[in-house]
Amino acid sequence: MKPLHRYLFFTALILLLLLLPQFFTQDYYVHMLVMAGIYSMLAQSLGLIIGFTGQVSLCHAAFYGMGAYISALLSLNFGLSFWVTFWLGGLGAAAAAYLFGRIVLQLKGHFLAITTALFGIMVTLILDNWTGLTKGPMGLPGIPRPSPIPLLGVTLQFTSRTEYYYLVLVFVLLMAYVTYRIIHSQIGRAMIAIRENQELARSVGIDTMRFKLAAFCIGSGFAGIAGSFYAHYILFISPVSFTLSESINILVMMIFGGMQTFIGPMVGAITLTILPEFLRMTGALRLTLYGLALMTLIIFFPLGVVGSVKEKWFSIDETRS
Amino acid sequence: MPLLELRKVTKTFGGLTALSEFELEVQPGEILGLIGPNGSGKTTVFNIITGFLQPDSGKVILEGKDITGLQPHVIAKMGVIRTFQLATLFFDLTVLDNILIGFHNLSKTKIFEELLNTRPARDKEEERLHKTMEILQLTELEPHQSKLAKNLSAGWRKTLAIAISLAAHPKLLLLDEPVCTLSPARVTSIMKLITKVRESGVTVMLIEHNMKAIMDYCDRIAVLNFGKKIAEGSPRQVQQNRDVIDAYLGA
Repeated sequence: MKPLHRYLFFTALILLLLLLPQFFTQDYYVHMLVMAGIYSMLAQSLGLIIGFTGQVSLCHAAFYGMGAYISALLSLNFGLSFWVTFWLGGLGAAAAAYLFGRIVLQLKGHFLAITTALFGIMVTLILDNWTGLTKGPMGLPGIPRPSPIPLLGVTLQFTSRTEYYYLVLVFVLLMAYVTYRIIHSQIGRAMIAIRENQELARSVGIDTMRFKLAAFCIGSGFAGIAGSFYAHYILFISPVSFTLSESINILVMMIFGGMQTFIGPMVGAITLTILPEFLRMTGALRLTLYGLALMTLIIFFPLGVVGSVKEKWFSIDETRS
Repeated sequence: MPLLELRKVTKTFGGLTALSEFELEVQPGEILGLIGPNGSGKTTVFNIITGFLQPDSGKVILEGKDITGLQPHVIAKMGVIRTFQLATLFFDLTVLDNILIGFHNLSKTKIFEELLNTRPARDKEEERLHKTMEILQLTELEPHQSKLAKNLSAGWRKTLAIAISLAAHPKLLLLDEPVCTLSPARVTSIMKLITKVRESGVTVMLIEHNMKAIMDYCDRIAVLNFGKKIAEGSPRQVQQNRDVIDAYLGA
């Protein structure tokens, strides 16, 4: 795509995104958009870890939850505002990812997947049972909204969902930009090398642990930020939102959209957040159709929606020599 | 001073002794062949030199520095680059991308520069692309640059493996069976490439079973059998060595 076309496309896209709440004024639809935004952040950050660096992490929701709880607890117990706590939620999740990753990223493939899954379960257990801190399954109610912030002349109070929509849009775009820059840098190239052939990468001087940790910490940190956002949006969190089930949910969105691409995970997140709602009208068949749709798409589009499109239409591969 | 020294290197795997008090010196600028029957410990030597395996005892000295047991990527950054017995490539990436990855350590990249895509970062990328073209021309892979590595024939795959290792700027290049299974014409062209590489200042050590290639192109040869060095010297000396003949033809 020529640079001029690219700028026009993105300007049009940004305009569309900014105007979206004008078309969907009903609270319910805006809520869908906000959740789609949160899942975009989660799926894309997981895409950096699994899609680009090849490290199968099944505990993404654990970091999502850590971010949510750190942010909520700091707000509730110390009166800190969202604008401070979301950073801390992200950093906390990233720090935990560093300590855990240092050990576990020496594992590969299935062993890594299982160990991360168990870590996720462990985090859920801690959240459920450390009732003194987290109030366990009862959850944390009354999480404060983000404090008012001036933006382009208007003061955002976060009393309406539309304001949250714009906030999540900013977050999604910023995270997407950082992810894009990483992917298209030498750092991204090293990550892809590690995914494709770790031994070969080592043999040409790539410090594989360093890059695996970088992907893991950045991805998990972003999940933590998404968690903080979630906490200050829904205003109530409980461990049930951050289980292994949720990790798998995010994983499916990422795979569905196309995990080795940049926009794939976002497309997957948006589609799979909104699709189940459209299927509501089918009543009892809803889950069956959802499952069928997923299965069909994964069989016929193993590279995900975006991945398969790229492969079929934009491939530069030449035939066997 | 020898470029590389292996001093009394021993490695066992459970009850099996892969290497026993192995000693070797690699002189700068030479092409040294490492031969021996299957299972005699040749790839183990490479693995130990490059840090993919730790020896049970003994030392690996590079230009006077002890590099025993350092991590593979650290040793690679010091200029010791190896290839693998089975052509190890980034199969789903193009030939061009394969070689570009080899240039990872071309120059120290600063994280911020990389992320913001500043002038220095883009210049470094230019340089990487330029040098990749040079290697593509040297190895005659240029016409295949857009092909996926998995779609290359066996001969070109092995050439690509060497090309990637060249991108990593080796002082010492360890080639594990670079011409194994290839046609005589192919063997000659790859061995000629290796000679060109040596002429540019790289020391080469190669493991091979193709005796003609070894005898025609190596300055010196070391022979392993059951983890022990049984002979070392010029191709002619080794060819006439009683122990070597026994090892290859013996029961």
